Amino acid sequence: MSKLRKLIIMDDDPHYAGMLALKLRMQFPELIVSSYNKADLPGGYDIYVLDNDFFGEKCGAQLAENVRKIAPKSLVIVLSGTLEFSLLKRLVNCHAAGVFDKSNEGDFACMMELIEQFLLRNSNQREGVEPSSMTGTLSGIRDLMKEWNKRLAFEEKRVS
Amino acid sequence: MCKTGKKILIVEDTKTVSMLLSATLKREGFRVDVAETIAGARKLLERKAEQQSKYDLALVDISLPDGDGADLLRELSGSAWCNVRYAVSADASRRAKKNALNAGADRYVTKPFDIRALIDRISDEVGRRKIVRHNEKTESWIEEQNQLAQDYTDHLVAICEELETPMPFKALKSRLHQLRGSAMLYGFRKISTLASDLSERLTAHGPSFSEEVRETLRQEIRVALSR
Repeated sequence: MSKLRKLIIMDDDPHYAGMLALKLRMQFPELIVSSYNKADLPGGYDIYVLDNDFFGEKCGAQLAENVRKIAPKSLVIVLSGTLEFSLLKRLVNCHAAGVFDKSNEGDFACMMELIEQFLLRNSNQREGVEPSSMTGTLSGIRDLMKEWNKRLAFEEKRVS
Repeated sequence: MCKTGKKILIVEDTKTVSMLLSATLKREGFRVDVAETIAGARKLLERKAEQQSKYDLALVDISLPDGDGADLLRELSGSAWCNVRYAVSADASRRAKKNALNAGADRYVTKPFDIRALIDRISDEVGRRKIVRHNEKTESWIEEQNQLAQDYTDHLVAICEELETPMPFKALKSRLHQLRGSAMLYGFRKISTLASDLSERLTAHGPSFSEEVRETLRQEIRVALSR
């Protein structure tokens, strides 16, 4: 039996966090899912799902940067309704894996896929399977950049 | 080789037996740990507990150099370290079998045993337990989902009441932000889309638009709840 991985949802809305936690547990029974409705950061998790908006304050980028300091190998995902350039820039710099819109069902599916890939990658490494090749890594970065650009273009169009 | 991902603990001091069991189980896709003594088994179990993991099945020889395997079976049955326990012994007497089952063994295997039949039985046992656990989980998930949905409906009723009176601009923006995400997750797509739209318009027009936002949102929530 493989080691259980720990995921935390940091969101000020307990209703959103509760249902998201349930959906994650149903999709990934090997995950221990917790939720937390304050903006101070608990350590010791493999995956962090962070809300950008805490009671009206935009603190997702700051939280992501702090996670990177206390859990350098963790997967960081940010949930945000808006995609300001400053937020994207800070998230890219701290190697956040993605930023997703809470109200978009397509984004929800993408987030699930990202978590699955992370769990698979970690499981393979534990079982001694060769980690991703350089080509695979480059392809991952390319896909990520493509996604960021798509989102930036969408945001630019929406604002103008 | 197809990996089952299932972990088996073999506690057996006769090397030829443990090697045969280990090699055959590994070939079948199981992950196997072997201990020759009770002390060695306890170390492996503690390591598993530290990793927040456990064994799916333990094969425990009753006669071990540092004690009675029945004692280990008793420890295993009283803990969450192992799902299924098999006792293995050369003693085919009814009394020995009864003692092992009383100590917490799920099955009693007498030596010499048919290795193929034993592996088939282990595969069936571990697989069957997995299905039972999955069904139990599914039922508890459905129950939790229903409870969350009920709580959310009550939450929407409370929001409707809250929106009847003026509220600070920042609190209204935060409420719209929360509704965008949560309403989508609970299947209230119209509320989510409306909250998104109202949030943008509130940002564009400022606090003067608050009253219209509250009224529009309240009406939509009422309609959604009446459906």
